[in-house]
Amino acid sequence: MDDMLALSLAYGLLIALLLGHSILTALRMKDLDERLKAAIESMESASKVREGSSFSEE
Amino acid sequence: MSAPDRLAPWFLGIGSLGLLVTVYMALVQAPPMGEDAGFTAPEAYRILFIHVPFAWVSFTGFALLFGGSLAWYLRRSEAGWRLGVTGARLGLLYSLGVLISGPIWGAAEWGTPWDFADVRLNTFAVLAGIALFIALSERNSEDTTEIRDSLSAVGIFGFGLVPLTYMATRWWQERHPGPVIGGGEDSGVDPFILQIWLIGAASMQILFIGQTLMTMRLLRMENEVEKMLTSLEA
Repeated sequence: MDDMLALSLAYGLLIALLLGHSILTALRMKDLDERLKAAIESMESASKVREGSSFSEE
Repeated sequence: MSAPDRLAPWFLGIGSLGLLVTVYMALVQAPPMGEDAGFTAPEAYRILFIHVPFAWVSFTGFALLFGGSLAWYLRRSEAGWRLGVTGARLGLLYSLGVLISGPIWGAAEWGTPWDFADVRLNTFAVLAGIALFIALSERNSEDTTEIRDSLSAVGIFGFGLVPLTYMATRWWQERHPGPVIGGGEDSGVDPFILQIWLIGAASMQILFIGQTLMTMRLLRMENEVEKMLTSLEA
């Protein structure tokens, strides 16, 4: 294989390694953000249910 | 989102742009180096324009691992723990860059991708192994104080290999070239090569800062999700 072609491929692989890590981290953060929002929503609805049941007990 | 978190995309963008400039300078602008410059493979040396910055920046990762592990061990600092884990993950990422690019040059210049008699190569490989061990163990173990203590201890003692790796080419030079900056009278490098190295290292360091901010935020978010899920289950 031509030396310069091999070097370009190696450079491409190494840059993809670096940028790929950042992209994967960003995707993981997006996923966690959605899970965090869902957890907050279920906490809020759980507290509303608790408030409702304490009202009916009174 | 805090101010450092908002800055992360800027660091990532500027670092990536700088890396593209480095690639252009390394593959297009740098001249071939033949036997007169001490190389047997005139084009393969171009891989060093990314190998050397990878190596320099990987030490920043190991320094974060050391500092974070110490902060956890001595002060039980949550931020310290996150810093240590970030250092292990990024130290591993950048040392992978070193361990991929180095053997490419070795195969072309030395006729062998690895030399098991060269201390620099082997201590660096062990450092990368330590980062791999901590990064994988942290992901696959339960998050307990005992596990954090054990992994921090590995991070603290493993850092002892950093000065050894740095000094290895001065004390026992086998195949890996000796220091070209601050290495005494015989050391030195062509100013244009140094310029590309410095641009590459600065770009990679900026990218590294962006990745550090991102990873720290990711670990914080993972912690928050875990806490919320635990309180929901209770």
